[in-house]
Amino acid sequence: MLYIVNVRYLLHTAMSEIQSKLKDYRQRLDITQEELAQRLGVTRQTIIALEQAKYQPSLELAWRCSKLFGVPIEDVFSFIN
Amino acid sequence: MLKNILWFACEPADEREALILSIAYRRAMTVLWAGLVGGLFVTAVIPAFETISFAALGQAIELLVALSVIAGQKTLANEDLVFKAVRVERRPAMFVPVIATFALLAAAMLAVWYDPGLLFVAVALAFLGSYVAFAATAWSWTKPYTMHGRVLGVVLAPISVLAWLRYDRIATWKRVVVAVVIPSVIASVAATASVAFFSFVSVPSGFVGPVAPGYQSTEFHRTILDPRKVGGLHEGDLATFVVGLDPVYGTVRSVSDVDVCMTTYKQRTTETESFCVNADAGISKVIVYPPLAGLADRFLSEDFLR
Repeated sequence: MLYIVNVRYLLHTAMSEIQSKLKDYRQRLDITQEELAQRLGVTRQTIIALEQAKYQPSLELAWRCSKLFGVPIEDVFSFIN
Repeated sequence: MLKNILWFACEPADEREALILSIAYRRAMTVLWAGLVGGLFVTAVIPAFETISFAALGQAIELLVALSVIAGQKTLANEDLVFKAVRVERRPAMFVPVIATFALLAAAMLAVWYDPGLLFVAVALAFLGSYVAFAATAWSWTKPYTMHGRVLGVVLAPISVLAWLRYDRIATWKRVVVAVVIPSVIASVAATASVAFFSFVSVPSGFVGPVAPGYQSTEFHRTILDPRKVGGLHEGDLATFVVGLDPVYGTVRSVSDVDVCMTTYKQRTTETESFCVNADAGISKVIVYPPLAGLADRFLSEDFLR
């Protein structure tokens, strides 16, 4: 279902920059990128992209991250217009 | 995993891979469709190209598929650039190419007003210059796309590419009209008007452009004569006669008050003909070339006459 991505999503992503604190929270839990990827159900490359703020996660993935770390979504990911 | 050449057979492992795969698929399809459209366009406009294109149809399709696969693979390999690129503003500013087009057309009109002989060169430079301005703008605003897509889009239809990118927040059918239909109609009208202008409008003074189809002369004309004062013509002069709407290039054989006889050479082939025209019967212009211009033609003419 995720395979077909709406162009509007791309346009939306074109309008803002993301800031990620995923790396900080991962280091607090003292887990590797591979372990975090397994817990979130994504690939390690996706964790790398998220930590470097090169990829904007879906709402579902952001929610899973925040639930894993026990903090609100906006503490992990924030957007700059 | 996704960066190999068989990327299209891979299943995405998560949402990021699904996103980048979808972009790769879109770009691959863009290359494929643009190549097909370009190929059909070339086949349609180049005479007798159908024979070549049908003979090479299989190879052409294989090449297009290969190009599209490479375009997708490059997209996946340059994932960082892709995600970075979609963040930039993608609505091109049209100010520079539009102003450049108007400025070049105005300059061309000024040049023709100054010297009518510059008509062909001025109009050609104006069109070429505006094309370059639009192509350069389209090139700079298509950075997020693969090299293949950029080259195809910028070379084939820079105006359509710019319009498509600029009007990205309207309904798709309106976008097609704005980016494809309107530029096509304008280009068709402009092409038809320019062909009609050069083909049917009376040749202006000093204009030696499309006078002799196939003739490669670069010499400039010596003078323009009123056909009713043909005393300025001499036997052996190389000249272009505009008879009615048809310009004819050839060597003057004899001159009298009322008749001009000449031998014409059509595209330097064996197809030659001689005829006489009455100066009172429709010669609107006579363009005479310098005595040494086309000397070989003159010898050929004399050889033929012998």
